[in-house]
Amino acid sequence: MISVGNDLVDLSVVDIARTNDKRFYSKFITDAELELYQPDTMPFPHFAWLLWSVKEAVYKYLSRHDPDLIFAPIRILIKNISTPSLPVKAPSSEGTGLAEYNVAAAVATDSSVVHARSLITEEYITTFATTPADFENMHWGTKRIETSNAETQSTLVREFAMEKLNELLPGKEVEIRTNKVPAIFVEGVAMPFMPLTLSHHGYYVCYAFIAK
Amino acid sequence: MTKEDILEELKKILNPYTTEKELLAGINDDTDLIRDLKINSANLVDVIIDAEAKYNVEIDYDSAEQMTNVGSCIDIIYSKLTAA
Repeated sequence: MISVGNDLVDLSVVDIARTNDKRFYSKFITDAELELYQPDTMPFPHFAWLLWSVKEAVYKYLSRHDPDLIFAPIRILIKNISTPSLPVKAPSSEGTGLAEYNVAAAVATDSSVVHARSLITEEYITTFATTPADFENMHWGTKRIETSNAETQSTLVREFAMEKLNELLPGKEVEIRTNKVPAIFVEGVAMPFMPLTLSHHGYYVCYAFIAK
Repeated sequence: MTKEDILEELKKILNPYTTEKELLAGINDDTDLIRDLKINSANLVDVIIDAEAKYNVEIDYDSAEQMTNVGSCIDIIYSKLTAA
């Protein structure tokens, strides 16, 4: 199925002491997933939030075609992760295809395996989930904003995505409409083959959409 | 402890994680934590941990995943308290 999901965690606003507390991380990380942790690759809080962001991105990927799906992170099981290189010091803010990523994860669902790729920087962790082929067709962007107000984040992430959509579709009337999940409309017509996903947390916003 | 008591305490638990203070004051069973109160999903585990600490109960995985709106939060906390 064609879909994409993303998630972003702003590392400056997470509670590190709480993240290290087993009562906290055991709510969304299984014992089997803890076995995947390699202390020489990243601090434990980064690992915990990496797994959270993978699970959230995969949930968004799946929920596009199953809108009643409930986010149950403990049931989204990460089977393996690989860490090609850590960390990326000066990541790009926008791109097509995901050339820069430093964590790849495979997540088994009831019907398929979903692939997730994450970028861990010193400031944030961002994850995208789609099929290996569609990573090549994925347009994405991440940027810092000046306020962490939820309403403003929501507005700014849509404006950020619209800038890229208008660039790709000049002269067209493009809209983002949201009914549980965000969707792209061109000239008033839904574009199911251009799935869009949005995320914001703390002082960062991030979008991704597939366009072939 | 009644469900009304839990509602008042739940407002205090949710308060640090929402900027929708006016809406928080008037929440009801149908108020959705993410959609209405704009609580970031990354804070949902915080809400569960804070509720556990407040009521000295353990909220298991199956219960936690149902805590998507105010009514389900109250029902789950109430059931844990009455089972304790």
